[in-house]
Amino acid sequence: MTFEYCSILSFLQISEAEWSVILLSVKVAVISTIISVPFAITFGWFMGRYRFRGKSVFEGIIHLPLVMPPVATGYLLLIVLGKQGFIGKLIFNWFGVQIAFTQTAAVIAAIVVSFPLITRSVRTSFEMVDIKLEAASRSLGISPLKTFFRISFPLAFSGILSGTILGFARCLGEFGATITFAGNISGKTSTIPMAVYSNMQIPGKESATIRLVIVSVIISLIAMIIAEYLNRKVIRKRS
Amino acid sequence: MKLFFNKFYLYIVCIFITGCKEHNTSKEEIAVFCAAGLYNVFTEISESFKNDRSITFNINLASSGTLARQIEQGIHPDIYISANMQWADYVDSLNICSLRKNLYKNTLVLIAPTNSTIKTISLTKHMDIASMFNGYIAMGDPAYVPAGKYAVESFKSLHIYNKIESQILPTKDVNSTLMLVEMEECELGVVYKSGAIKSDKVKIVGIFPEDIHEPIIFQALLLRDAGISAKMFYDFLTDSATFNIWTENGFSIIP
Amino acid sequence: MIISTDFEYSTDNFRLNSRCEIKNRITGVFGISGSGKTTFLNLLAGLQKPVSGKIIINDKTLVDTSVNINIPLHKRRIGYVFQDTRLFPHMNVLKNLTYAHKNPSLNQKILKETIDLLELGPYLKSMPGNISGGQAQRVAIGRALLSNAKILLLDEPFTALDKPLKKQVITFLNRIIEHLDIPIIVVSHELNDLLLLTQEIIIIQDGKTFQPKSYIDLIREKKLLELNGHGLNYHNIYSGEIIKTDKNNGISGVQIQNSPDVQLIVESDNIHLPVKSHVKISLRGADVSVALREITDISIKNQLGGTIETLYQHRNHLVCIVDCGIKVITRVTLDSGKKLGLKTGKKVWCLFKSLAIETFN
Repeated sequence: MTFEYCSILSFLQISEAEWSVILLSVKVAVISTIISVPFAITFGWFMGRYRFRGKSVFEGIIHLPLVMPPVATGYLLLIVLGKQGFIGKLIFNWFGVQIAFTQTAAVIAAIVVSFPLITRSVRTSFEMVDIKLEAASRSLGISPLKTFFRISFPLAFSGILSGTILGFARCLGEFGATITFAGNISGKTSTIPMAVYSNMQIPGKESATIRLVIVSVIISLIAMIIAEYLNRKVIRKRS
Repeated sequence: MKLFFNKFYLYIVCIFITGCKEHNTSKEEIAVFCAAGLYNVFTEISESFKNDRSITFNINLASSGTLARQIEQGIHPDIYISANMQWADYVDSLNICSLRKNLYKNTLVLIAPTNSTIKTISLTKHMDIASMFNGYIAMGDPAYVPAGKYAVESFKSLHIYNKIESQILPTKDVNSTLMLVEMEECELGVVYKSGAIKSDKVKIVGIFPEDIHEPIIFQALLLRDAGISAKMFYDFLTDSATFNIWTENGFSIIP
Repeated sequence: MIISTDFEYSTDNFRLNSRCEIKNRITGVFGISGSGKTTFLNLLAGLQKPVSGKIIINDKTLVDTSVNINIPLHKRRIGYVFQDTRLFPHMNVLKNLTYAHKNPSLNQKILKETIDLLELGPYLKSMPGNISGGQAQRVAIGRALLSNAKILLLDEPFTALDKPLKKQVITFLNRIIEHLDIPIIVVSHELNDLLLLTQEIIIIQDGKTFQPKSYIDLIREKKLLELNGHGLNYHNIYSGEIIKTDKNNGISGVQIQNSPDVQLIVESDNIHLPVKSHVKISLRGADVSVALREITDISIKNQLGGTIETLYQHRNHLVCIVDCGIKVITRVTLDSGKKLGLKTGKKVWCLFKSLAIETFN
């Protein structure tokens, strides 16, 4: 009995290397989400509130990473931002900086795949906010910008939050685009999915794989619970 | 409703059983799990084998490890071709194979983009490889891609591993390595000669001496349930008729 | 001049031309449903933009298409009370009220006054979803008042409310009119509701706004006849002050404002107001009988003598304005008119029961 207990404990023991992978994953996901969200909010707002020429085409492009195979997204990123890519070349020539296969690349890949997800959710939640309330706010002498922060944003908050959590989880689980564009460099771009993938390739690494899977499940669950908690708090305040 | 479901269920089961049966008895199909690096050779050999026979090949190309895992999970081909001894041993240990043999061997080479300023690098002990390039040297992830494993092994025996360790870009397979060098994302790459000679966007700038790493031997394993055609193909792999195909693709015979 | 408009607005299936000047502090806008009343308010407030023309409010040009002026909504300082209240669902009543306050501490006094005026004290912590329609309407009015608005626009403030609530809101609005010095434009499709707030009316009809006119003038000029049957149901609305109450007999005496000779007896059971209270009273034109002399042996307590100043036929009855010190609008059938020999300048008595009078405070 005690022996079994001990063996389970030692099985669940997360190694130093695994810890660094986990921390790196969280770091990349957090940075990506923090960068993504303000853009997604701005973007979701414009998409939800305004009509313009070529909107659907524009929207289609933004949503592309949602439907494209992630590996293809990564390949496109490599073509655009790689050393020989039309943007990457300029950056490399001017600043001598290589983007691909760095932590920045991991962050960019995560942003690109999670952005449409967050934007979509943000957009829907802004569409749910009654424009009449915004008009009412402005009629009270409050500028459109302040109206946004005091009316539209708080009312769309739960949607934005769940979009953010969804995006965070997507960042955490991002594999295809990252391995193509950022590689699997340990300590730099090797996130949980990469580590799981490589462990699966190595005989005898099953336990490490299972530990990392458990950890990612736990992180995602915690994120969901926090989101749910914040959401409830907002709703409770309202009634 | 329930009756309908039962019928439906039986129907599905029937299809499944007949499907399996077909696969097991009439050996018109040969299922091969083949290491990805052998794609070109395999296609040519299988074409030449098919010549006067009515046979179709069911081929599954992936890394030796992925294939071994699938076999372990119970998906059994007729033939498993591995680029790596350990994985071949692993599949062999499952007690499902009847025959095993060496095929040909591959050579590990150092490549650079065709337009690179690097001409040749002679891989010798304590050489100053770090001063020869700035960016990344791409290779299969040494943790699980055999080519990467051999590369690290070689660099270690040349005592230059610690000089380039930080510049290694691990990739998920040899094809990715090749692609990254082709795209000039990496200044150098370690691949098999068989892959390098197929690409006109890269050039071979160095050859790894054979005595500094484990030999890169391709092995074929015939599974116990395989039929006669499969056995014939297994034999055909090392037939003298295929010698040219192997060598033209950069492989060499095992002495 | 409070408002001066001269503009043209049109969409695919709607047009509104407006050329009018509003000088009165309280003006009603009346028209049938779909005539463009709300559009008119939206144009004043800046939610919609005229195709061409000018809008000037409180001597400030808000829109002038000829020189490309169009002050945005949030800079117009117009307190717009929407028909659907539009309270912010994520804020409690107090936060809704102080929403537009830049520095709450400075305006504590005004805030308190407004809360007292609208009797919102008990609900300050409630969320908009948990208060009644009438309370919500009051919060919306308070919120607009506290936004430092220079003019108040009320869009159909009573329609969503049932009768007791309507009465309540009318009371509060009259209080605001009495206590605050802010111009107010009220829109309604119920003329009689509007009259309880003001007698100065703009009619919107056939895609046009007309110059504001007094209610009596509109009747004199036969302007209300075609508006959705409202011509058939004129109310008389008077302001007054309670001068005595007789609790035993359940009646009160009301002195009509600006007419020292006229006192009306009203039934006082459902108002319970002390002496000196200001009231508005409403009397349906159809409830007024016309007689050629005062009648003593009858239960009708209000009998006013006067001269017919206006008389015209509409369909099968006569619309008649009698000057009894106050103008009394009444309708009689053609038949009765013939029997009594009614004509302009004739002396008649207007008779109406005290129970026919509705009182608002």
